[in-house]
Amino acid sequence: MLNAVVAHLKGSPTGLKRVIFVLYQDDAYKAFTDTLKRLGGVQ
Amino acid sequence: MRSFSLVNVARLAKLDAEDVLNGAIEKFRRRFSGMEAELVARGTSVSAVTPASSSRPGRLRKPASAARSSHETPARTLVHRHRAWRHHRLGGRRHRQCGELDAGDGHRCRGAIKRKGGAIIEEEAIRQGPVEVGEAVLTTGGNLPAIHIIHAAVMGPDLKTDAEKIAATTRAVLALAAKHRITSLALPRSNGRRACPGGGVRERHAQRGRGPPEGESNRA
Repeated sequence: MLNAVVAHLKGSPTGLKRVIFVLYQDDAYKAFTDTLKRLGGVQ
Repeated sequence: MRSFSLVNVARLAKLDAEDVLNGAIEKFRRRFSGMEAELVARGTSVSAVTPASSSRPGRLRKPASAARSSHETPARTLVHRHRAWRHHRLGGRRHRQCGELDAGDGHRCRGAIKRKGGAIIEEEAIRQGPVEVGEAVLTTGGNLPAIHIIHAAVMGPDLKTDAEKIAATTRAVLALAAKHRITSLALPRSNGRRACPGGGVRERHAQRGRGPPEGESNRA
């Protein structure tokens, strides 16, 4: 999911200004944070 | 001169003029987007509506979100995950897969959306069927704070999904958002039962003595 969103935002001009990921558990949050770090989205 | 006067009024009312102006702009955008969504749901467009009909009171429903404070800025579009669905057969016996949309992330989420947002959301989504796995459709947000809801089919009747299906559905959601010039999107990443207290994929599978569906592990 995160890969698809990052690819979309990087790949084409978009009007999207804000994408909120609604994560209900700590482990989901951790998984998303790790993936985002791996993708270079956060420092 | 008028702008100076309005800024002065805001100052006397102890309001930030720029915040008030931005709030008014956002309110207008929200209402106009709501009107566009309703017209799309009716199968027409803004260009096809005459000024007389669009300005007639009650002709176009004011979105519930328009009445909210401009300082609250929840996502304008909510993505709701479903299993794939077909046409709703009006009259007669409802097909198990067609009568109601079954949310992949828990039937109680669907129930909550229907209860809070109104039956029109589900009706609009069903009307746009059939929707296969990897596809998504847009409906109005009904009475919910979100202006639109994108209904995304991430799993088939077997309730199984995987990373590829989720990625394909996410791409469909993003394409739909781009098509409708949506600027703000909330994507749920549910873990079944905990995402929807009291009901969900994991709970249902647990009741049936099975594990969660493939792809429901923690994967971003």
